[in-house]
Amino acid sequence: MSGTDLQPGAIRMRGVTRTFRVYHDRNRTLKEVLVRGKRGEYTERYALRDVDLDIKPGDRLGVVGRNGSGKSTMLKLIAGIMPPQQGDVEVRGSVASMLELGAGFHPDFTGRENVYMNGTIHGLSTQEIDDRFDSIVAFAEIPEYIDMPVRTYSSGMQLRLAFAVAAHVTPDILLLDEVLAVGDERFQAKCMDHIQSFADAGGTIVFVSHDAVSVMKVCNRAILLDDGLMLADGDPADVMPAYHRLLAARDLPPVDAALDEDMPDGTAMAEGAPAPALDGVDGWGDGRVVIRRAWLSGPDGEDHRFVSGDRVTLHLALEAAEPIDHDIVAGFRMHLNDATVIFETDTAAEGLVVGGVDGAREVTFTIEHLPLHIGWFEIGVWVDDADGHPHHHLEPALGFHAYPARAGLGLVAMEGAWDPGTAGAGGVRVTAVTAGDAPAP
Amino acid sequence: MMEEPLATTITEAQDDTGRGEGAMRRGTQAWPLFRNLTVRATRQRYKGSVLGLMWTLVTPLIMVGAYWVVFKFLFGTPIPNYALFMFVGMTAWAVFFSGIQVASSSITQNATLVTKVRFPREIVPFSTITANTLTAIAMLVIAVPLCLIFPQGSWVPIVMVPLIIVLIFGMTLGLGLLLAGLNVYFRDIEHILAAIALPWFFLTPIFWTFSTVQGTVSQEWVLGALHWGNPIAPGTIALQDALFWGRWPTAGDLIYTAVAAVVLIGVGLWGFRRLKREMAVEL
Repeated sequence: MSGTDLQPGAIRMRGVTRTFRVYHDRNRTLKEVLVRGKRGEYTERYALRDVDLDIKPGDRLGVVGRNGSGKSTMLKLIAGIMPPQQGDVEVRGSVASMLELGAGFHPDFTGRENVYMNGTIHGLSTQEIDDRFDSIVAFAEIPEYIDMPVRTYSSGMQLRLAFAVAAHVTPDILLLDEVLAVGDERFQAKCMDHIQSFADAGGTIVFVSHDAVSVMKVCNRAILLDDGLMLADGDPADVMPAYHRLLAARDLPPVDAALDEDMPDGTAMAEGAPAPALDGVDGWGDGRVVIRRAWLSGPDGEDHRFVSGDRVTLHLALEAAEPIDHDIVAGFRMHLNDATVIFETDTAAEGLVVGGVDGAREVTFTIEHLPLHIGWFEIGVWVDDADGHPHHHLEPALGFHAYPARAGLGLVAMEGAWDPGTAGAGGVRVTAVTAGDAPAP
Repeated sequence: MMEEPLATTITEAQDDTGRGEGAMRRGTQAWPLFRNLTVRATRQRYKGSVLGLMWTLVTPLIMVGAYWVVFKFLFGTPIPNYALFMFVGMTAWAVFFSGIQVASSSITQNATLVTKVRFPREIVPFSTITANTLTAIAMLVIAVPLCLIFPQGSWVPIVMVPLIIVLIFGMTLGLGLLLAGLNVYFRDIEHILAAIALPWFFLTPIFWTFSTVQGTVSQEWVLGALHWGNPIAPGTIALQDALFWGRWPTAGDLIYTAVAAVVLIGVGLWGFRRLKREMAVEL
């Protein structure tokens, strides 16, 4: 490119627009085109609209956004795999892309042959691959298999080998696309180490992800794309909340569909229906009392996306076909999707006497300040009689996302503040102060 | 898509993928990739089969045997050393038609490469065609000594064989490039090629010659059309002249093939350049 003032490792986008055609009924054969005279109806969809972006050498840029927001398109434009329709993309320096992880791997060829092929694709010369070969094999941890055809490898081994080759390319710019899920945890840590050392050496990283945690780990800058527009650009700690607000604002399919409106009215509890088969309702129990609907509400009403610290209420809409006059017990269990219990309680445990149900009744549990930081949580709910005989159990009944209100990682939002102390003779002592019951912001 | 006007400021230097070829840039190197892909295409073709590269010879030899039975034994063609004659013609056919056939599906088969890596896309059809030509040349290794042992004329015109092969190779590159690009957008190109393979083969003077056609063809224009209307016919005849008949190929056949090679390469490069822009999107 003539007259460019960019440093190696820099990327500049000016007015970049990229659209795609979404075909309703695509003609992919010459025959069809000749017969119908066109390639089918399509609508033009924007992947990126008029994006200006400057990435400096050494930037570790996280690109976040929902599916279809233009993240991957941006990566492909930088990688030079597809051209923009309008505008300029300038890239200085060598680019290695984890998009190409394993590109050109052929199952019938040995690991060794594929390393050479893949290395060539990454822009290494044969001499360079020769020099790095032993190190690549060691990194992939498959020395005994290197002369076997790749089709005999497990998928984890293939990915390790692919990552090992990619890790031995020394580019100015590294493009990452959700590749951190390679192999087992130990290997993932190794990959993270590699990415970290690449960053420490001053390399530019562009990391596309919809996982806030990884972006916070890797990046020192983030941009938020939505519908092809760049909505935010700055410190990840500032951009991530914007991303979460965007996610929360969008009407994504509810996760508690099992109990949602679409339940056939009145059919659920046909009189004399044999328990525990609950006709038209998920779950189990004798069905004398059913949980007609379970949902969560937050500051903005019914929702399944909450920000740490929100006031969140769990609602159980109970219904009894015939009046129940004995005491009932309602409970819930919040857990991770691997069944690790976060919290579990019921009305009896709290010493509450609920009474019976005549027709419909709503029971709620309110969490004053949601103490969760980041993650997906599930809730199972139930209603029993006082002796523990099950009326209706639903597991899981619903799920929700928690989004962080501040920096940090992990499931639980611990309120607290750092006190870095002072540098004294004994060195620096760093203390984390965790407040027991501090209110959320 | 090819008809799409590009309302952009993409500059000359941005080549195929819309990005500057900065001096500092080190992307995928064209030549090593070409070499590796060619080697791989050659080896891949027969990998895992017992006969390996021998298949290159076995298939045409079986065909030669069958045609020999039909045309020599049943129809009594006057062509001497008929099996060898057919084998020479099939060499030209193998370079040309097998070449465009493997080229046409080359991009779609390497979709993972094209959608993930930036490199000059021409390399893919080039390398498959080159690999195909190399295997077809294995046929020449058999044909040349046999033609020297059973000469129909002089040995000297054999010096023309490399030139003729290069010209046919050039035609194949041009046409193969175009078809490879088109096949990304119209996936039935490769099937259409498979369908016209046999009729085209029959219309090419491989197991017959213009001088020995018996039938009732009295109209010169039919012969003219068969000779000059079929891009691979003059090259095939030139190869048969130089190798089998031991006579100098006619200037007409050579010039025709040379012009066809230049034109097809030009059209192929031009067409492919237009088609490759959106390839990664289309695949």
